[in-house]
Amino acid sequence: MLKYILKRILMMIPVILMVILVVFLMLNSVSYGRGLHIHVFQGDLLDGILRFLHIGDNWLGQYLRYSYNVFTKLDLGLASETNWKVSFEVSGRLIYTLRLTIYGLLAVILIGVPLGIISAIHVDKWQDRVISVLSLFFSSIPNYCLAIFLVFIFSLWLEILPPMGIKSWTSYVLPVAVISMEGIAQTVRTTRSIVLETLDKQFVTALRSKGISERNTIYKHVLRNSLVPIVSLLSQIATKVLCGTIIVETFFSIPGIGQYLIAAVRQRSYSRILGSSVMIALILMIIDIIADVLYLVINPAVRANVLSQSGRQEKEHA
Amino acid sequence: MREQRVWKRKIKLFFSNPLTVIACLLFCFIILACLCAPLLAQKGYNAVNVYQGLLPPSAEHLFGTDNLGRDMFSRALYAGRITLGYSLIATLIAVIGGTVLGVASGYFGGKVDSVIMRITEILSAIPYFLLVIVFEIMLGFGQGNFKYAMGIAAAPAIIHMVRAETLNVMSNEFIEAAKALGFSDIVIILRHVLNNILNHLILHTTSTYSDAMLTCSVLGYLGIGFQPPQADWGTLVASGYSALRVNPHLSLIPCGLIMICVLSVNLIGNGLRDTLEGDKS
Repeated sequence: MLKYILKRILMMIPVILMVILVVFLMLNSVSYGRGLHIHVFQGDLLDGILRFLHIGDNWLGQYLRYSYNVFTKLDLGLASETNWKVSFEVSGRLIYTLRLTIYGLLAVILIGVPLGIISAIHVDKWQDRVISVLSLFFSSIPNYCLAIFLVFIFSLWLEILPPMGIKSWTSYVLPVAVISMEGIAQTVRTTRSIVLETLDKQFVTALRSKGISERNTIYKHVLRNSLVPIVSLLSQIATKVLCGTIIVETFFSIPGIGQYLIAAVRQRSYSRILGSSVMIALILMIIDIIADVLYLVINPAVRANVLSQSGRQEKEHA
Repeated sequence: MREQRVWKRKIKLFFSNPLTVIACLLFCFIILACLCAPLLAQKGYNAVNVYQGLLPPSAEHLFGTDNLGRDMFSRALYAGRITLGYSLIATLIAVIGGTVLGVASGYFGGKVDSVIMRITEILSAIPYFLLVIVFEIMLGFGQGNFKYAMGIAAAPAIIHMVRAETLNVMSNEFIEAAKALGFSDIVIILRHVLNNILNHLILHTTSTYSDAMLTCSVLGYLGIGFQPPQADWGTLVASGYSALRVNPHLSLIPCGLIMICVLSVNLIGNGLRDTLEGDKS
């Protein structure tokens, strides 16, 4: 197991390199050193600044230096506005984004899965209809539209939840509701179809014919067998939730990485954009690995397969 | 003859679901209204009249006016042109480009396949929204370069889907037969491969379109899409948000318009899926 996790972590390295390369090349094509020439800097001073910021260097050299710094020193470059390291600026914000993502994922699992099961058990009854219509409705609302409606209802009209900022746990309610909504809608629909598929299998008929109560059948047998495909959805939903935080943090003024990224885009601060995109991609990959490991933990069949496969490969190498 | 009957049955099946019919009508209505914007919105989207700022909805100003006294109805119609039109362009770029590359990669295999697949793999390692932003920065901010950004960013998913479906079709015997009969690659692709993946393509087109509308309005909302004085629905929502307590209609109406459009496109997609997949079985 440990070996598998280590292997996955090692496999992250080329992907991160690629992500850095893509973002780096695209940003590099904008040639942001140009602005300096029209300022008051001239002669030696200008040369010094250009050399200090490595502007005008070969892009390959810049890219290699940047990736080297990322891997050896966790250094995401220098924000030219403040002269602070991007990694320093981002590190304080990381906790908010992680909290939002984790709460959002928890909300998706704790609300989406039970609703999906309810709707599958009561298929074609009113419960199913209501849940299906609601999930279609909520999957079609843009994040920030939902946020505006919720702020309008809960902050301005009922005045029970704060509309922005982070002060106490109540501040998390609206943002988490907004980022998890799309994921919940998707989870409900997939869980429903997966549970329905499982209910159709022969072992369920066998259990029922043995006279085992419906409750036991569903909670002990159907759920366990449906869990595997549901967990495989997790990384996909995590991507949605994490992308949702970019918008939600901006909307609710939460000082996370998403807000930092959008602010950087508005200011055209390229080193910040690069640093925060790499950071977001990194978080996403780590979540991906956790989801995969979880998938192995709950599914013995896949575990045996994957672990024996990696063992066999090692033998072949030897 | 038979083809016509099949199509008639499909169309009948499609319109048998009342929800789909309502969605179609609503969506067509909004599109028509936006297309006829110069006729319907006589006041123009940019006519400032500060003495009539922040008016509630009335007969003269159907959606009220914003803080500069611009008629929100006209603004909403012109904004709709941008949101709907730009998402359509982005979708077309993604679908046409994705289909060409996907079919090429699935049909020819070998080096073409590995080059295209490596590039799409790299692109799909970055989240969609981030990719849109980065592409937009590369193409330059300002008046609407983000439509190309959205198109390029949405293409990898379609390339993956089309390639998988093409490989699926390629394993059939009729492809081998067509090759044995000496048809050229172009003919086989156009007549056999594309024909067989058309269903999937149509479904993906609707979902890509609704995704593009969401992304377009989100970019507008965040202020990194369209720049003023032009506006899309997202920009309208953002500019109305500051007056949410006093004039909620300013942001809630464009919000509602986006929701109606996305919801109806999703419903149309659902109807299409039921029609196309129900027909197969």
